[in-house]
Amino acid sequence: MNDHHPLDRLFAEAAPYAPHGEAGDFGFTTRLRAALAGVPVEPAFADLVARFSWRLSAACLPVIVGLFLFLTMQHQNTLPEGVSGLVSHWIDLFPLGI
Amino acid sequence: MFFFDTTRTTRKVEIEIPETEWVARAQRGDDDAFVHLASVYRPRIWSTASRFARSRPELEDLTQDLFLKMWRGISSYRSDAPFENWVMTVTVRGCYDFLRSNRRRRDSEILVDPQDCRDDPDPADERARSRREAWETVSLLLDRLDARDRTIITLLDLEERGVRETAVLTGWSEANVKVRAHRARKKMRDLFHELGLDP
Repeated sequence: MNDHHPLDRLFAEAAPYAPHGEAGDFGFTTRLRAALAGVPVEPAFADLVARFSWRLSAACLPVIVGLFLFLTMQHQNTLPEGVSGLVSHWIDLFPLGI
Repeated sequence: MFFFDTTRTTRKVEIEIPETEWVARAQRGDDDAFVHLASVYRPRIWSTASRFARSRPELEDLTQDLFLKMWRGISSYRSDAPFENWVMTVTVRGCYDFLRSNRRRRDSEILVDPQDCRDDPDPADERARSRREAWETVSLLLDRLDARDRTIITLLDLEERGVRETAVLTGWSEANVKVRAHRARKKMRDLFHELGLDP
């Protein structure tokens, strides 16, 4: 920078000046704490999951029904005839003997 | 009684805790730790922000906003750089945003700060008066610059930071900082002559 220009001397003179005085400590932490208390806390990922869990469970329902229908269509020819046959087929899938 | 004076112990413990620990606590949402860090860095933030505000109340609001920005963004701080760099980056970018968002209002209003009209504490202090007058002239010229140029000139010529540091703080390239600084200084010199401020 050209130090001979009056503007440069002006910058050098103005640099150490504190335009609005020094920062006062009075009430600083109180005001800052009050301001921080007003800031909404960003929820964690687990909180978000918990908040939307009931919506997720509702959303799962059509998926489960769709999956059931899809599997039924896929295994249409392999399923036994009649309601009693179907029930005994499903019962066989249980891990415990009924 | 001495045995019940816990302030001594507390102060000693606070001093012994390293800054990284305070930062880690603040990142976990401990507002006491954040207030401690804010108290430490407040003079530096105040000093930089004071070049951008036109009155003390405006400066108080600006610094408060900067602290809130830091509180909201402290989780994004990565410890690979000193915490002070991050603080000053948020400060400088916050001041630039402040200038841009308040540009229209600042152009339309003439703000007279009673603090600015005060007499110097010691009228005989010629040095302080000379500095104040120099600042008033510089401030008059800075007001004619756009936000980006003003930020660059403030950092380079008033804060006396280097080009590289200014580029890091603002997030602009070094070439951009140099070109803008050159143009802004030329504009200020022209204004200086136009306004008849030559000695």
